[in-house]
Amino acid sequence: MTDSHSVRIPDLRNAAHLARLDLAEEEAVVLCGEVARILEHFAALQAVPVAGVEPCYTAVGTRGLPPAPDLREDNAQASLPRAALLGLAPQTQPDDEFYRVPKAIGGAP
Amino acid sequence: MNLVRQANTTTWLSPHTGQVWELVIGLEVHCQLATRSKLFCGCAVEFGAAPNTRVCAVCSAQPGSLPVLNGEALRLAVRAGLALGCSIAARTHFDRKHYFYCDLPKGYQISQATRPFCTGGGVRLRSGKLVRLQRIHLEEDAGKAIHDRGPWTLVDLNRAGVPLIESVTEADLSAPEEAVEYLTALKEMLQHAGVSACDMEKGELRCDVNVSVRKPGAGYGTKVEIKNLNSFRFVAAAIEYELQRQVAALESGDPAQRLVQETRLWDTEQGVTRSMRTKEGAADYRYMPEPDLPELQLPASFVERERSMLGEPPAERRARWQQQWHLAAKDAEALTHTRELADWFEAAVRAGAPPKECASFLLNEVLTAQPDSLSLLLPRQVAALVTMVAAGEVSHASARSVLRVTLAEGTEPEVVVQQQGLRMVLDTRQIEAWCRQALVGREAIIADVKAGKVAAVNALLGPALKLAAGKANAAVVRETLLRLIAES
Ligand SMILES: [Zn+2]
Repeated sequence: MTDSHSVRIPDLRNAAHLARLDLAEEEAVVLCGEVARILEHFAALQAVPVAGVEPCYTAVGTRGLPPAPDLREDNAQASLPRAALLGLAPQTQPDDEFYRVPKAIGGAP
Repeated sequence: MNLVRQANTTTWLSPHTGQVWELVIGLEVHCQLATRSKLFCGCAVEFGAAPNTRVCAVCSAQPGSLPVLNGEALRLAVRAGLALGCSIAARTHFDRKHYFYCDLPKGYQISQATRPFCTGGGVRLRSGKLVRLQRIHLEEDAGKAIHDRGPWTLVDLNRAGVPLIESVTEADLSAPEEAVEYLTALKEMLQHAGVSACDMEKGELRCDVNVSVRKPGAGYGTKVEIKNLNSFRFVAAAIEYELQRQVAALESGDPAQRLVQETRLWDTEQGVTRSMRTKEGAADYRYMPEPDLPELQLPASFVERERSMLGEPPAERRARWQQQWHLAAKDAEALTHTRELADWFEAAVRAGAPPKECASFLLNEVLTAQPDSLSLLLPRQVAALVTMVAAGEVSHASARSVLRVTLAEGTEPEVVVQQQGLRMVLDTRQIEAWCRQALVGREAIIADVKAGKVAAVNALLGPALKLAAGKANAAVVRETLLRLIAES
């Protein structure tokens, strides 16, 4: 493993934080090694010469095929019953109109 | 600190230090597309629906659900780009923008990062300045989080998945009034192209403002972003406030006031911006191509069809009306308030109405009669009525009552005029007869008029018109009275 694929604990912690994963100290050490091995595979991909090759952005509706036909007509359809939807959420009380989540003031990032 | 605007410039003088400052402003506008259903599912887009009643497996992110793109949203996004002179990408795709917040059930927003639908284009201000657009992309709205009702944050997902376009300008604006002019023009163009109703009360148009200050000719300063302004007045006020705040901070040299790149919110009550105090470190959205949606290819025929739906840009329409039909600028402005009204007016003129008279009748009588006047009338009906008024065949007052009958009963104006005997008497002898009768016993007034007090004749106008039972033209009657007095 070359130095460029090594993973520093703070980078790993940042990635874990972005995915809202809690990492114990010993897990972090193990993961550092595992993530470094994954990056090694990507390094192999990076080595393939792709100059002049058009990027492929998506595996569905691939280039060369006719334009994707699956656009939806703009017609409103029935939604799900609210009780059924809210029933899937852990904090819902009978007759709730809203999802309840822990206080989250401050806005989206 | 009170900076002084230098006359006819976009620079401000600091009275204490003598330094000159300018503003650098860019705008990001989110605009809700006028679709019936959401961007990736069939849930209805409906303002004011009961909470969480327009939500399905897709827009609440149930496992295994898959998005299917709303064709109309795609068409409207392309049309928006065409209206604003952008280039439309022949191929484009969606990306996932990741962040965690309770109003975003999937944990990512489907948006566009590297290949937006539209690039380039712009809006020209009255000064001739071009405000360049960087891009317009299509994305889904998030839900709504409510924080001020009890110990929980409450979430309503009705808005989650509603189609939006985000348009981003270059930092080309240099004054609050330029920002407002740009936004007004943008809103009008999107409305006239049928892209969006842009109803700001319903949150269909929301602005983020990027603003920094610098000395003329210097590089860019540290910018702040003011998020989620829902009125153009607040946009102007927030820019004005940031100008004063940022210059004060820079001139003070006080490290506590040092400017940082940050997001701020406009406090409507206090008229100030406040830092959102986000954690340090730029947001990292980890964009990746959306694997659940295909790459989109937009054939030229698709784009051309949308081009044909655009209609004439409102500013050009106003100019044409003023030039060809000699409409007052104020009337042209009022009649292009909506595409519907502008089209209606043109249809009436095509049906034979004299344009100037038609404009003023529409604005002063038809639109003030009742809110849904236009939907109850046909353009040719108004054309017929205005034509009769312009020819002097029907008085203004009669036209108003004909309008009322046509609005209420749908009867053709010509028929109402006929039935109610409202056609004006144009017969000179009949008008003279009424005038002679009105002159009987009014020697004092006749003497006044003869002595040069022409306005005295106005006292006879009412009685003469009363005798004519509204069927004589006031100007003709007045002229006849004066002539008879002169001849007597
Ligand atoms: Zn849905």
